[in-house]
Amino acid sequence: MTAIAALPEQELLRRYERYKSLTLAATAALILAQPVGDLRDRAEALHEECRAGGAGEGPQGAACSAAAADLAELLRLAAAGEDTGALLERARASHRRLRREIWDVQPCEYVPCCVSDRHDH
Amino acid sequence: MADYSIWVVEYARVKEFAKGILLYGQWNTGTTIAPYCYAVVKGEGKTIVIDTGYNHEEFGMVLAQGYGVSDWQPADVVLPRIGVDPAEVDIAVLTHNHFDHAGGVEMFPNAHIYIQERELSRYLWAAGLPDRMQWLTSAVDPDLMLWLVQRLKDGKLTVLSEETEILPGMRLVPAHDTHTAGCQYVTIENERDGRWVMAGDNCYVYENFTGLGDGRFNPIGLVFGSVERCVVTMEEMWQYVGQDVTRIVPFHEQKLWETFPSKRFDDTLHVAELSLGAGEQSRVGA
Repeated sequence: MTAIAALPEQELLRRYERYKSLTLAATAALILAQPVGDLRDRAEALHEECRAGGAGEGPQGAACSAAAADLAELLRLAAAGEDTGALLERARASHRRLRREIWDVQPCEYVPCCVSDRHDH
Repeated sequence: MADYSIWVVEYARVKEFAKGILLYGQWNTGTTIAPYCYAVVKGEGKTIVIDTGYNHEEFGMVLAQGYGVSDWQPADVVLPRIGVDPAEVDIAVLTHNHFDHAGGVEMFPNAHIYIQERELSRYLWAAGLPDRMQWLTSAVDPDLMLWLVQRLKDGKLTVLSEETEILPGMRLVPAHDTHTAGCQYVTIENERDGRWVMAGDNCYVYENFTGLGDGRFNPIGLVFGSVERCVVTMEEMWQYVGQDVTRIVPFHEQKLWETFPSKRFDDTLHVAELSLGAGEQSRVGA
């Protein structure tokens, strides 16, 4: 039997930072009617990176991959001028799933943290 | 001019909030209670919330555990205390996009939302920066932004790029590069009792204006933009209200409950009644 190794913590956080930054920029671009082609390419690259890790990265890797895939698809539709409405809820759901994984390793994502003496980060 | 009623509702608090966040430079002076509040304004046939609190589901719960927030109550608990149903709220002004001000916007399903363009466009800028600089967006929730995209599709989101009067006597004033990149504050010119400023996080407490006894402003301690811009914005607000600090309303100031008629409820949360329009009954027994 082969144990499934979790995605290393630093790598998970790195991917999440990238995903979060892309999601904020993508949603801002959609609201402000800005071009999304470059963001789409970067989201697809992130998805490829996540997918390359495969099942060996466990539920954290899977959550990263799903969230990046939905973001890339959202941006692909937007770049093509197609309706993104149906994908928004799916993107929210995959983002929440990824964030739950993040909270296990980064309990003070939101600043300012007033209780940093109670955890290690 | 118009006739508005104004209340501040407390929806949560942090019992050990570092004073150094509230007051720049007060790094080693311990902690204090910081209420979490938003304002409710009624008038001109509209009900307006200025900021929305946050939702205790999902990241809100994690936040409460990891960040020290306690005593949270949703909008459908705190708003009925002043006779308002969250579904009746027509307008939600987001002073900025941090979770404790914008994160509760889904609790107001029919509200039209106003936010500054710069608050959003800076995310495009930040996405071009190295990963190591992403602290700049650390207090922003991507889930909220995804929801705002849907809100735009529903025709319920307006993005502003300049000072704008959204209702008679009620103006949204950009305060860019202060607490956040696209902060704004709200000015209200009331027929009966004059001028008010709903400051958002452009100040946290009255002491930001009254200072430490030396006659100088002491700005907030958590600034994503420029401290210089914070002080200049404070001066704008200060002059607007004729240098009367009680006409500037900070949303993390516990002295609100002693400055205005107020009521403490069984869950220990407060409502302050700042101004009552013609024909309105007091919600706090004043």
